[in-house]
Amino acid sequence: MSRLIKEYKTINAQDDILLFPETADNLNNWTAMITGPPNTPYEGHDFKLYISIPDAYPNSPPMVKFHREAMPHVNVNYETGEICLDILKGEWSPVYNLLYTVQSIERLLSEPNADSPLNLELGILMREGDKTAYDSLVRYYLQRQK
Amino acid sequence: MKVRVKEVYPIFAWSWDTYTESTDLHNNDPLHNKYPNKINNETYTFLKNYRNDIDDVCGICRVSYNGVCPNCKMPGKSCPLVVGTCNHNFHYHCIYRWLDTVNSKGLCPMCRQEFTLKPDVVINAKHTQKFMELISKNRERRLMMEREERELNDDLNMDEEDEVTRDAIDNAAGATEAWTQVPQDISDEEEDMTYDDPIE
Repeated sequence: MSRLIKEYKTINAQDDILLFPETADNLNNWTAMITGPPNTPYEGHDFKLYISIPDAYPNSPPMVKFHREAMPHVNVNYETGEICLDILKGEWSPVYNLLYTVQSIERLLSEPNADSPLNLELGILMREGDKTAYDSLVRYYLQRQK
Repeated sequence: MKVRVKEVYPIFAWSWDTYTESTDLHNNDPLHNKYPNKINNETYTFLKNYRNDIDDVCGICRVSYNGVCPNCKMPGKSCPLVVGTCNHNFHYHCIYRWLDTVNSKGLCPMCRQEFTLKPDVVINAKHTQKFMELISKNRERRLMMEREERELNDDLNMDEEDEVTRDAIDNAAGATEAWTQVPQDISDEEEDMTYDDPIE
């Protein structure tokens, strides 16, 4: 818990990523806003992340999700918003923090990984190497939400 | 003027003897170079950085090395700092709790090498013993996992081999059957056809 307070203090000074606890008196649920990286179909869109901190944090990774039906991405389950990322599972280390986790997810947007698809539709397109179709389908999903 | 000392309050301070970035800062300090003998190296560094934010912190709890892990109140031998063979330092309790999780696989959180205590850095015997037990438990766990993985792979390979041999036998059997049966089938069909044709 004291470590989360420390993280809260340092994060306030950071401006490039919005990361804040949902309520000021409870540091177990956080929200983050990431912006779509330039030169990706996500450019110009903002995405909300829901972070919940397990009791064993930092020895267990935080649980991070996108809003349901908001993130068309090969490593994100579209219906639930669940994210498949190694550092959120077996590759977690207690020296990572919330900011690093959110930055990694932002990087995942520009570097999708076809080896562990949670979105089969996009996974098939990516395996076939059809980047144009992949990007178009992502854009279509994003457009439909507006 | 005459000054009379009425009372003296001695203040003592200590810090863990680790290599930190502030050691470097101190050695480059012009004041230290000018009066190397007047200001004692360790005391100087210590007073400058005593439980300060610029001091190096434990990577797990983000509290200064000279502070305590989140569950302890008094710094000192009950909550010592441990140094790994990989030269990464953590509060004893912080690294213990991490290595006690299955997720850790017994590896250092910084460099993912196996975390073992540096032999020339001594902490109290009870802590060392408990730590060594944990390390050997992790080694056993890792060996068991490796063995399970190997057995699983062996099983998979065995299954594949079984299938291959079974397929080979099936094919061989099928082939011989085919050799003996095919001519009969054809002749049967031919016979049927010869019977059918005249009726139509």
